[in-house]
Amino acid sequence: MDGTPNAATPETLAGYNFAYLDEQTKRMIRRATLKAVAIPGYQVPFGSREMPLPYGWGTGGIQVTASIIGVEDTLKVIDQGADDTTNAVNIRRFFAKTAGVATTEKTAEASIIQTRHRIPEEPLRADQIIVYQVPQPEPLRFIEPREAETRKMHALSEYGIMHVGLYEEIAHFGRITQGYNYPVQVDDRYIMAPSPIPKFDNPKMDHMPALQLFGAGREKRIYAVPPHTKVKSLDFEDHPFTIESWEQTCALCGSEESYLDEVITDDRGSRLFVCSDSDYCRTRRDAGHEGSGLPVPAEPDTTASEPAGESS
Amino acid sequence: MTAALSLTPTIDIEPGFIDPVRDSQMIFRAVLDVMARPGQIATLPALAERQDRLAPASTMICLALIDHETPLWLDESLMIPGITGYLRFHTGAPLASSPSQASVAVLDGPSTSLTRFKTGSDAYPENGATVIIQVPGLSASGPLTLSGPGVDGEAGFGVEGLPDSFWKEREAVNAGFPRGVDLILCAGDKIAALPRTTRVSLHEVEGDQ
Ligand SMILES: [Zn+2]
Repeated sequence: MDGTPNAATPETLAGYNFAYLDEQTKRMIRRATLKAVAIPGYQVPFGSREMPLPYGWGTGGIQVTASIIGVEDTLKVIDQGADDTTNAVNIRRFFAKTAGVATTEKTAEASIIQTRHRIPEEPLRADQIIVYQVPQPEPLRFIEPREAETRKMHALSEYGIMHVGLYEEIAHFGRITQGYNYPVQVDDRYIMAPSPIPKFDNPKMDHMPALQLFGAGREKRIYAVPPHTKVKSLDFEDHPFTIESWEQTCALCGSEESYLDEVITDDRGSRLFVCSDSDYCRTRRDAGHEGSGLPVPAEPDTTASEPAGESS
Repeated sequence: MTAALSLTPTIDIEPGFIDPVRDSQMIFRAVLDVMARPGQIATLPALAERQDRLAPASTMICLALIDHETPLWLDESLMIPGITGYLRFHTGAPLASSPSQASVAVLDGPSTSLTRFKTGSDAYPENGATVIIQVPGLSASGPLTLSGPGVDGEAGFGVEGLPDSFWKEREAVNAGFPRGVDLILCAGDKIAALPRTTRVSLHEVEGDQ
């Protein structure tokens, strides 16, 4: 063996543990991650460590990223689709400082994408890993508050109560009202919370070529969806799963396909519809695509639900 | 190699990883990649050497992933001081007194029945063992067809040194999903994984799964 020590590890240079976590913690999280991959959709408990950020900042996702990231990785961090929010910028800086990794805002250039609330519009590849920040990993929690009970329901695939809960919504509202964190079933087995992504993004999880990892810091759970794995949004024959759609196109890039955010542009309530995925929108504009640039007048919004305020 | 550390007057311990932080991460990512893509074969970088009968890949996976929290089972052929001393020194993993006590095991060939390992429970299936099996060779084409999570449709796979009966036994052990045993196959510096979800069918016995 050619033993050339790598004297340039950030650990020795900056006085941090590489990617902040100590090696014992990383091994524990790595083993939990491997079991999560081996049991798709099952929430593996792990010994979450205190991180130098409060829980609301995505400590679960950060711990997963810290355990998988290496010097050769390029990291992208998005929050609601944007790379430039305080949350995204802080997490990116955290890893640039503690792991010395390259960072990017371009989806195509990233080997690891940590996300809160969105999946990029650009299809992910087999050589990429997406890490979701998860505030509440238990999809059955809204029906059953007791951990021992939900664990039993997952163990025995006793998901009838979940379907009853969803069907009651249909009875009350004529549809399933949940626009975010819409529950999915993985490989026809575990029901899983996809994290508070809009249900618009759910179909992207199905048979995605990239590995999907989920980290919940407060609840101390890691779960995963391997590549090319069936991910089905729960629905009923008479009420099939549908995603949000807009009458408008992106005012900046003209996209008819992306998830749109609504920006109020004046005190009369005029609204501008723009891509939530800022890299996607910028890439399209760089390629010459143009939107109308025009706001639309105020009117009752019937096309899409508001982004949830929930944080991880 | 540089001078080995002397633990006792009779056993010399060979070095582990030169840069443990970086090397552990690289080996883990390779294992994560193959666990996520059953049947895909990866060649590990040469970050540690073979220890007697412990293949380079098994050696590096142990260095990267086991510690005092993971009771380790070694089959009889691997229970030699050069190996046990090395792993104890570098990982701190306690040796399990039986396969059923182990969370990680290393077998040199199909020496130990998979039925003897933990499969976890329906409530805590992650307690199923990870069994590393050293085999003479791995190939991306062969008599086996893989399907399941991580496999895009179907994939061919070949493993030298495992009899047909091994696959029947594996299927039986994993029949009670989510309970099961996850396999990492090592051939020299090459690895592939078969998590419990992977369905393996033999071409020879088509229709007889
Ligand atoms: Zn746009």
